Amino acid sequence: MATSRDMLTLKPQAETLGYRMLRRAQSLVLWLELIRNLAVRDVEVRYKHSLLGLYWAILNPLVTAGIFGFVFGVIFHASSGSIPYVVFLLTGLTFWNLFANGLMSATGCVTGNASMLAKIYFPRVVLPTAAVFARFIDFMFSALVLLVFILLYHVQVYWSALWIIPLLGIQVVFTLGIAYLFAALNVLYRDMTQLVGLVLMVWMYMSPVMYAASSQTSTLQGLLLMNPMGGILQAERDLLFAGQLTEPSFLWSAAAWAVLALVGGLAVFKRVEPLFAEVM
Amino acid sequence: MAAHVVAEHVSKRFQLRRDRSDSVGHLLLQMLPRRSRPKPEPFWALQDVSFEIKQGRSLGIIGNNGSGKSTLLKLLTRTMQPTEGRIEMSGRMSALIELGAGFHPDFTGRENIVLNASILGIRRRDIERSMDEIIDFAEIRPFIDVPVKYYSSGMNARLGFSVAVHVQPQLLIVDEVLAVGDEAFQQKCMDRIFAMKRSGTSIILVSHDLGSIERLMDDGLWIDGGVVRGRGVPRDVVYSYRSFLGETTARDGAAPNAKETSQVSFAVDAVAIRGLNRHEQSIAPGDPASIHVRLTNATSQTVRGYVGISIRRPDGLEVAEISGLRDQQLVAMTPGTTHVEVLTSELRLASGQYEVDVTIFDDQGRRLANARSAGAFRVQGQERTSGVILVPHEWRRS
Repeated sequence: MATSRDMLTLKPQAETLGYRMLRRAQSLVLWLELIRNLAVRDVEVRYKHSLLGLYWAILNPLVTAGIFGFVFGVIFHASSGSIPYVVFLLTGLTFWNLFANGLMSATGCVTGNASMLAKIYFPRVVLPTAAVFARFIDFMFSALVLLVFILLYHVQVYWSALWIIPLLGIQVVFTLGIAYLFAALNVLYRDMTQLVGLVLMVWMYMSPVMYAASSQTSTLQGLLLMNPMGGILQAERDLLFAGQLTEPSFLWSAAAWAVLALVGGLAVFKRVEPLFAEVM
Repeated sequence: MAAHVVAEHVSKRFQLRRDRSDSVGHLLLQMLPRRSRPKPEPFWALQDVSFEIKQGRSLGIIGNNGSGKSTLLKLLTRTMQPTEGRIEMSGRMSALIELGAGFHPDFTGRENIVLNASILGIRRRDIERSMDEIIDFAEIRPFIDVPVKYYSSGMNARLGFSVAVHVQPQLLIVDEVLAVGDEAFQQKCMDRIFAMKRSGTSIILVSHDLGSIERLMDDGLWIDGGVVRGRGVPRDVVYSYRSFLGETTARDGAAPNAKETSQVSFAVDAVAIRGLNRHEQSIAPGDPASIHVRLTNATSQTVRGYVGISIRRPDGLEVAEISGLRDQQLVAMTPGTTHVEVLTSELRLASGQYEVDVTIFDDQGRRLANARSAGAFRVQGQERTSGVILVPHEWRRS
């Protein structure tokens, strides 16, 4: 094999900065492709081998919206301003589920893929990343359902809704950061999945998913929006239905949280990564 | 040529911590003050292991269960980090470590090929091109679109092997997984491994099949209790390992400390064994046959010497020796290439696979070059006979 020899003999002189950068870029492309393959396959497998197929991605938020809509809208008479409560709730749930499901899938993904870890080394961070992106694909389907509901109820939507795209970026970055943290810790402590379930439940009720933060007292409102997911959810809903940001300052704090979570999560993940093969 | 894999003073320590909590609940419990805590017990799975593999060479690793072989492989594939020392390697690595390693049980065979390839560093479009070849080699075409979790262990190993060898690695690491395949597939794998070796791939093979380590590898490494106990010519390493196991096979001919002479002036280029009865590759028991040896003399003068040919069974058993020294067949090796042919009217070997070693001696009987497994051939009869030789016979009532 002439090529392999060439590569070997080339190696010493080619260790320049440019060459190293090229190598890094090449491997990054490779890992991105691996993430994409894993995420797409994850979604496919999830729905191909289940009875209702892709409908689960749609059915799940629908049923949740239905039951919460009944309890909070009909029984507790929650107010949602000018928008029908079901649409309001479905919006909150759609965006919240991207975070919650991403975190849930990512937490178990390293331990659940033990057989994949045994082969050749690849950056393990690929696994939780792929898990989050798989849930992002789910999110796009449930966003379609949301769109159908918005059209059905003739809810007015503003062009500012396009700003949701960069906002989703912040949300995904934040999700990834938290996902790395829990994925790594789950390798060390296997009941992390239970803990994540519990944390997510509390977190959901503490975030403006089923209610609007703006309808609370200003102290409570500040408290709710300090929570990065609160700030993001509020902003996403505002952009969609109000046409403007009601609380732009909290978005900055959410962005800061997102960066902090990503850096911190990655740091923990990198720290724990060498132990993966040993404790699993 | 540049060293391909270098391991220097590699050690791996595991903490057998009895008190390590593996759940958050346990962790919280531990925070309660307690009088005494069991101390962590260090366990050295590997200690001060060093070796290097040059491009295109092969290393066979042997040792008892629990000796640290698998830990070493995990360090080589970088799924674990050494506690001390360093491991360096260049080029693309491919490995077949344990059954189903790198496979996602829910994905189909085809999806797993792509996935596995991308873990090994191959883009999707590149692997799509060799997809058919991979599927055919693994012989699982009817099942390729079935999730891997329904595969038998044999199918799993075949697919794993097929992917591992089709990504054009520069270093191939193979653990015992091949043992689950049937004999035909094992043979196919071995053939493939050696085809790759010939084209420049370095090989690391871990096996309990001492015969194949001995006959197929360039170097041997024996690990016991995490420590290197033997290193060098596989025959010697296997010999000392066998002696250690207390099952030393009686072989008077092979001195355990026979050193490989590093003379490069003489080389055995090719050995061809042909049956003279038919044109096929295989030879029937009792056929006339010829052994053709091509030698190179890289020096500038003609050297007179002898050629020794030894026929072995793959497990290392020496079946026959044809010694030019004993027969006093002095060969004048002119600078350049020399051809020597040995003819036999009846090759009385039973059906099976055989290998040929060739040694060149000078006229004083000093060894100039030695080529292990320089050639191989298969004797194939109509009926399957056991044993090694064919005994001409007739039956009589007495």
